[in-house]
Amino acid sequence: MAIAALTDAHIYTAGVDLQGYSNEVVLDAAVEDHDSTVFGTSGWRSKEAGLKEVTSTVSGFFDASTLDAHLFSTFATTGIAYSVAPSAAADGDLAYTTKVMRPTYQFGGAVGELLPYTASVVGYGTPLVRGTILHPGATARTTSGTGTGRQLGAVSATQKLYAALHVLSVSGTSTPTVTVIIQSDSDNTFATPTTVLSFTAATAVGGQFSSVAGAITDTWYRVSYTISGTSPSFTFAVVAGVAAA
Amino acid sequence: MAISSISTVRTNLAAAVAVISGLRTSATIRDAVNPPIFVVGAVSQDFDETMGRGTDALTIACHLYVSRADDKAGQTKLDGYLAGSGASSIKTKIEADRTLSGACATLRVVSQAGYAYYAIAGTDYLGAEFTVRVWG
Repeated sequence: MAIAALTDAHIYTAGVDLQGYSNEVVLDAAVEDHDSTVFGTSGWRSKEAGLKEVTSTVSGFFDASTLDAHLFSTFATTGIAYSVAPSAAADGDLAYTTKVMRPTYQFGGAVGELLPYTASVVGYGTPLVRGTILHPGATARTTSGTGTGRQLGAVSATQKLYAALHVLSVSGTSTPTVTVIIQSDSDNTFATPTTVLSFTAATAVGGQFSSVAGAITDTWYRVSYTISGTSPSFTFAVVAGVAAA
Repeated sequence: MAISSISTVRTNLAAAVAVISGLRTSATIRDAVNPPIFVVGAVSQDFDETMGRGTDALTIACHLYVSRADDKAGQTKLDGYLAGSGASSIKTKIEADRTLSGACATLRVVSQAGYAYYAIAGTDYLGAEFTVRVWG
């Protein structure tokens, strides 16, 4: 992928996409470094990696309804499904995902300016996963189906397949429900798919973060979604990737 | 709410000011004017104020022209339009509906400057410039 100007990003936090309210996003992965310098290193320090941490900050323009309602309700909340895609978040695009806690939310500015906001999150005991969008949030689904298969690679015994589901909108009657699972197979035909991860059935806007431990020898993955209800319609994003357990 | 179109913003800006009794308006730059008249002028834009082409910001230079036939009367008339509030206040009338009847998300009349004489088609007019910032 060539370098490009940042003109689009999707920031999925639980069941909300902050894209339309935001003009800046930062995803920061850091690791503690511990001095392990001993004699015989020709005068050079040696550092070992310690605990890792992820933080993310998003800022933009305040919205009194959707944005404020979500950010304030999730303030100091733990285990929020959080995904960031530095793009239009199309099917197959790169996205990072993890579970977070929201320690800060602020808004306010000078008279006359568009009211700005800033919110941050910190990791919550889960790796920051470099993943792939298995289902784009912009595509509405009204009937059951499957997504496009993506080659995420095998999952070793010391790894997990991590995935986030962000249900962004729900409409319909008779309790519209979407049940999303992730299937794997040895190739892109998905002739004999195996369910490797199942999200809880969703009837409302919200987010889930889940994982399954390796080993998984299959290298291809896709979402399968079952939709029920009367005149149901859902928009949801799924991000999945492999990382250390 | 995205900006519907620059033309619609222009038209609705002029319409917002047209409620001021005795003040003509034009949604486009004119080769000749019949004062007193409020003219929606040049547009500049800042794109990508939010992600995914969500918000752009327009800066619109609007001009107000009054007759300079009687310099004292002209300035008195002009001052009425420049006031920050009141029945003839251009700022008040524009900001009465910050969405311009749905043409934008919000706006602000940021400043007024250029209190001077302007030459249009060989005739001098007393006037001033308003800077209007429109987001959507």
